[in-house]
Amino acid sequence: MTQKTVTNSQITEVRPTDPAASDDVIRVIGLHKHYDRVAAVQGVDFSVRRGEVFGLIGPDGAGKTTTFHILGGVMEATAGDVQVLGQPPRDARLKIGYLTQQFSLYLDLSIDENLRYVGGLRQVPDRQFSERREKYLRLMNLEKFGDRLAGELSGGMKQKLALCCALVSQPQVLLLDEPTTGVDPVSRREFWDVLAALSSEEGVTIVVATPYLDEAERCNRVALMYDGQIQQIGTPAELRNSLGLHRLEVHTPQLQAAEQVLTTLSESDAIVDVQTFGDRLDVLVSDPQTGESQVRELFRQNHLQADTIELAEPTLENVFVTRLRQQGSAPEFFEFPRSRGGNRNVTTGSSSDFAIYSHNLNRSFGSFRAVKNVNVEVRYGEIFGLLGANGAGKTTTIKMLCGLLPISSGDISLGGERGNLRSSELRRRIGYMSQKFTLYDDLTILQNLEFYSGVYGVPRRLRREKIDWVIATCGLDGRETMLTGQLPGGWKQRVAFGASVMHEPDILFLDEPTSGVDPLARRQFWKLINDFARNGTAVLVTTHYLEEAEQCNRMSFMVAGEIVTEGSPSQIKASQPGQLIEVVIDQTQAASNLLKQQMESWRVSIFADRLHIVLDDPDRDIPIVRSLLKSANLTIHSLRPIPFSLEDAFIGVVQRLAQSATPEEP
Amino acid sequence: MKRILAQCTKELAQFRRDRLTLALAFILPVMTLFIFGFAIRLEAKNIAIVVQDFDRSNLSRRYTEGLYQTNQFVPAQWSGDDPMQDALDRGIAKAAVIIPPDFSRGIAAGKTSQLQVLIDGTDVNNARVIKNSIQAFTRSFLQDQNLMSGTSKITPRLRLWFNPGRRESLYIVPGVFGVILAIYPSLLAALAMSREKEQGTILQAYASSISAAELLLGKCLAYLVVGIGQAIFVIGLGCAIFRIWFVGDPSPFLIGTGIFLIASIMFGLLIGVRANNRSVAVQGVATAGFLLALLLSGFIYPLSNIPFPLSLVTNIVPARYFIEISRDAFVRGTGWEGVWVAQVCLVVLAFVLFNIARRILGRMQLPG
Amino acid sequence: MKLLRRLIESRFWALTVKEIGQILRNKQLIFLLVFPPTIQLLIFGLALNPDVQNLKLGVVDYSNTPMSRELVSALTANGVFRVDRAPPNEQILGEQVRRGEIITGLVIPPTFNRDLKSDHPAEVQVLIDAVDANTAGIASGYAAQIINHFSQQLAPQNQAPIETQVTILYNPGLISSWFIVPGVLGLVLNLGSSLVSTSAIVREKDTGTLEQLLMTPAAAWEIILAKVVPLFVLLLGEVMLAVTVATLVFHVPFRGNFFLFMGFSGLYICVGIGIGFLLATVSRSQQQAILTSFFINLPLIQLSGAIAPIESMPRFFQILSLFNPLRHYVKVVRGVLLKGNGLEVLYPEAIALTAFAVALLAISTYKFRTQLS
Repeated sequence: MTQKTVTNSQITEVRPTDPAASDDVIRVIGLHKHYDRVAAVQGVDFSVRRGEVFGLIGPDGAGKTTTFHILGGVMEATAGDVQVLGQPPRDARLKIGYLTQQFSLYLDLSIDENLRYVGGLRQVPDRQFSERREKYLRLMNLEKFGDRLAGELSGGMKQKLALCCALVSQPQVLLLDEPTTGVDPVSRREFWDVLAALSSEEGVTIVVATPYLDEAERCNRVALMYDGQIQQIGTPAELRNSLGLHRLEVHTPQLQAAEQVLTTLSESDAIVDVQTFGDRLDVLVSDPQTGESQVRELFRQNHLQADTIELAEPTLENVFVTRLRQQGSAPEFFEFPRSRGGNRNVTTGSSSDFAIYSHNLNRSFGSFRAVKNVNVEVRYGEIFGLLGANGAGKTTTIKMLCGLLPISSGDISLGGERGNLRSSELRRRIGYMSQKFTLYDDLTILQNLEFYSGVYGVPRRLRREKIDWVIATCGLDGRETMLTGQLPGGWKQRVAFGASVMHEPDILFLDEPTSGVDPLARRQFWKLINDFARNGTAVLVTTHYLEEAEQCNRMSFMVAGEIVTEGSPSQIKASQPGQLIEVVIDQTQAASNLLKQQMESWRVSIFADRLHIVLDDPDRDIPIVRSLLKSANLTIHSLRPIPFSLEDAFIGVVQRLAQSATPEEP
Repeated sequence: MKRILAQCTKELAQFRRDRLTLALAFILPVMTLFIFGFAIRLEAKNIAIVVQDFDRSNLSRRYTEGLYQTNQFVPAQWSGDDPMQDALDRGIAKAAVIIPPDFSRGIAAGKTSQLQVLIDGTDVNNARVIKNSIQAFTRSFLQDQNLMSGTSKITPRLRLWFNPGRRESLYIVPGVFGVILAIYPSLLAALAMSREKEQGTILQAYASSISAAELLLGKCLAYLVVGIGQAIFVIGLGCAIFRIWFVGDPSPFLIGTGIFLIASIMFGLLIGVRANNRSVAVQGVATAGFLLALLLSGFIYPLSNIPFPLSLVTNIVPARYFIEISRDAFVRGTGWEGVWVAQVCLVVLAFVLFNIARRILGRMQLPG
Repeated sequence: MKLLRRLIESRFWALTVKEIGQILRNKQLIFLLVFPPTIQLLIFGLALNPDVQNLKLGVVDYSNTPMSRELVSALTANGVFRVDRAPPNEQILGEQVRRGEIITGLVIPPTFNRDLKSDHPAEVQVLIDAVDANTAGIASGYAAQIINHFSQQLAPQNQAPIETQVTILYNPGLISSWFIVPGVLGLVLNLGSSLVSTSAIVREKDTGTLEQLLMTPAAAWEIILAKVVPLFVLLLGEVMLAVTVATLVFHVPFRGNFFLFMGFSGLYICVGIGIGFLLATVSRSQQQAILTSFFINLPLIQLSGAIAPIESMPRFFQILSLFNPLRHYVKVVRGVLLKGNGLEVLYPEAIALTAFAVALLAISTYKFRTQLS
């Protein structure tokens, strides 16, 4: 109930028709959009001030892209008033830079050609064009690749180029629709640093949609959108506070059991939500004291060991998840109807012990070596993560491991089979979900599931049960006869996952299963993956959401076709040199700019309202940082060492590698 | 103007990048030129026929030999005794001439001998040619053998103008130019347009302030450059291989080619604007373009043979006007006074196509 | 019963049901199989008309006597020529021919009547625009024949000693559509089967579902066969549609055996599907597939005799056309429909088409399979 009132007060805070609000660059009142019978956006109001970074977050199919289309002037609204820079968006198009979700680039054109085309379309005078071209390419570190084809760039570079294209006409408003989907962590941070600089230094107004809630933390204000409506608007802090909940970070060696206990056995409503988050549990409680004592009590009753319980602020992800739970849209977990009782027939032997095994795996395309000497060993019941940026060779490796792509050299064994990886019997034991959507868009959901269960030879009498499970898990009850093509991307991913596990595979390959999936669904995905692993399935998963990679038992980092680090998440994090320092400070952006002049820029990154700094020798470096910030009149509210996250580790590894490859700057 | 040029430069850059399309853009027209130019011959030469000579006289033998000496007929290899069943049914021969047993005796007796001719009517045009040839030969045979008493009262003096040798290539090849330039530039244009829609890059154009007209003109300009390349290549090659050349003022042809290219590119863009993906666009160009340019343009048979309601459609087929211009340039040679109407029609058609495409693109927005 | 249950449990069944589901959902495909073939048959049948009639004739009659007028009406009597205008002199007539306003010109000299009465042969001039060589050839043949006939009637005692009795077989009325429509039927079937089967595979490639399919236990032949069977049935439907249009609209006779015809059509559908699959396995994207299908189908159609007769092609192309499966099918269609041929006549075509079908399907299955690994 309390949340409801908060929501309302948040919305009324928007000043719709206040003439004094002249710095409202975007004003949206009562926006509606209907496609045939479907209402995509139903009554959205918000306004964005000049120079603001405004985030739009929400689950798949919430109406974010439609809102962007209308703001960008490429689609007519059904009803409502939309003003951008005091004009209808269509008339303001030249002052708007718009990054669509995909394909804003011509992949068969070079970087320069792409830029020149946009410059021409938007009538940028030649002199200014070359000025800006140089400026922005330098800003994005792309200046050396002018004549490279856009199609040959990595995902991160593509998005940076797309941003450059949007910037050459020097727009006052930037609309970015999920700009960092499919972008590796390093590029993601760089991208957001550029955005922060644009808004604070050039006064560009930015509206951005993102599925990454850590990115949303970097916005000035955030709107939480659900089902075509905005549920809540406010600064990240306001949103967090509006929740009225507190977060307990519980570190325990028995994560799985603890989560089980806390979710099912908690009788009072003191514990609102429990989530495994990397190597810790996030427990949301309404009152910190009673909550903590409750957790400790439950731990004691069940003979669990709690290392530490720390009180912290809730994160935006907590807000997101809790709000959507309140909407009743959180996907439920159903037990998979196992007909084989799990994978019990695992033999123990030498190398056939491994479900997936490769030694010195190589693959070249022409002169390009896509995969170099990759070793992978995955046991039954293990979740193995293959991490890395787009283009690092993850997909090529997966395709070789499951026999889709011939290898250039090396050894492979799959499910104990060494020679013929393509036999029908072997494939029956394998589940595979590829990066692209793998369902037939022109069939209904039910037809798709019937097809996959049939083609994998699931006995007819068991099919019904398994199909029902997939549909229930995806929350698609009653919509089974809908065309698959009409499902939003994230939902399709869920059905695709269901389709690839119906036959209870011994070995499961998941190539970027959660790309484009909202945080709630991502949680459900991992629950399911864990469940399969517990029942003896070997899982090989690739991802570039490093935060979810914490769920893997073991993992390898791939960079440019090579494995650079491997181990369990805690091993990898522990092997990082130096210390990560979290600084809470007044002007995060200014502090970041200042520090970046003094140290390599990857060492400093903005995380919501705080800075993360990687210091190799904290005892020596912390005083230097303190005095540096003090001399610039920046007040430090807190400074404390925190453990590395996997993302920090990944960035550190990649950057140190890049550094050792190129001679150090003087 | 700047936006048109930007669009045009971009299209050309993309076109240049796509090796396969680039290659096919020149290979396909040349292949078409060869196949149409060489293989479309309406009048059969060396027609296989069967002569069944029951007379076996000197006269009948002379008749048979004379028939083969016309260079139009060759004897068919057949066995059996019923020419209809054993030669025509099987398609071994296209016609059978049956000389009756009393052929020479009858003529000697001053009676009229009946010569039976069976013609396979499956191929209507050639059936007619065979019939005419055999009758004409029989007539000249009578005269040569002095079997006609008295001379003919009226002698027709036939004069074939423009193409006295009746070279079919002179008729077909200028038409092939029309068919090629109607199909391939429009195919490329349709692909370029529908690809942007299929891949969603069109959003970038929507999000800038480029107008529908500018977008179309930009693409048109780019493919006009490509089309001119194709035209020079194909027409040059065609002239060299089939030994044809301008017979008068080439200026109407050169200008007409430019206008015609614009019209066919506009047609392609129009289809590309309508279609949502490349496969539909190509189906559209292949079906509509081929049907119109091949069948309703007067390329193979005279336009006047097309029956009434369909004949109206021919008026909006650009290829029809271009083929008129092309045949005039290579065969007839009347120059401007003969073809200015066709040129005007092409301009009007190009303009109309452009406007329809612009109307469909409309306000450059996503459909609601 | 047990067999049926085993079939329903099989992967092949799942694959086939999926294909049928996709086909039923694909409005574009159904449209593609109904609309273009009908339109093509109609337009080809109506527009490709080699008849020589109603040729515009310009007459300069300097003689202007009943006899000269009779000659003119003899020329126009059977509809080949039609008097369009009567220019005052030869120069203007020539100019009109040059401009293409009229196709033929007739000049009757002032001395025409006088010459006829004397023993002197009268000479008339016939101008023919020979840009269209074929029409000009037939027109000049007609003109000579008519004038000869006319002059013979002037001297009835000159009975010609040989009379040719011409019988036109199979198509006595020389109805042009009877030639074109069966040819176009082959063309339509060729385009339909190859395009539809190409898109069935290329679509899976483009959307990435093929990769998923390859990871299932299904074998290459199962995947291909499951695609062939529904398309085959669908294309047989297209053949029926085309035959219906041919017989109902154009009254093309169906003299042969219907089942023989359907058998041959089935064989050709296999050839077409083979061509389509081959195209799809060779090309990397939809755009490539479409362009290469142009590259293949254009020569197939032009060298099939569907539009221009094979006999009139240069020798090289005639030999080349023997390797064109469509040529054989077009011959079969004309043979069965117009001539009523049976297998005893068409067995070489049956052998050739079977060979083509087997070879194409084998190669494409092989290529498909190697592509997967």
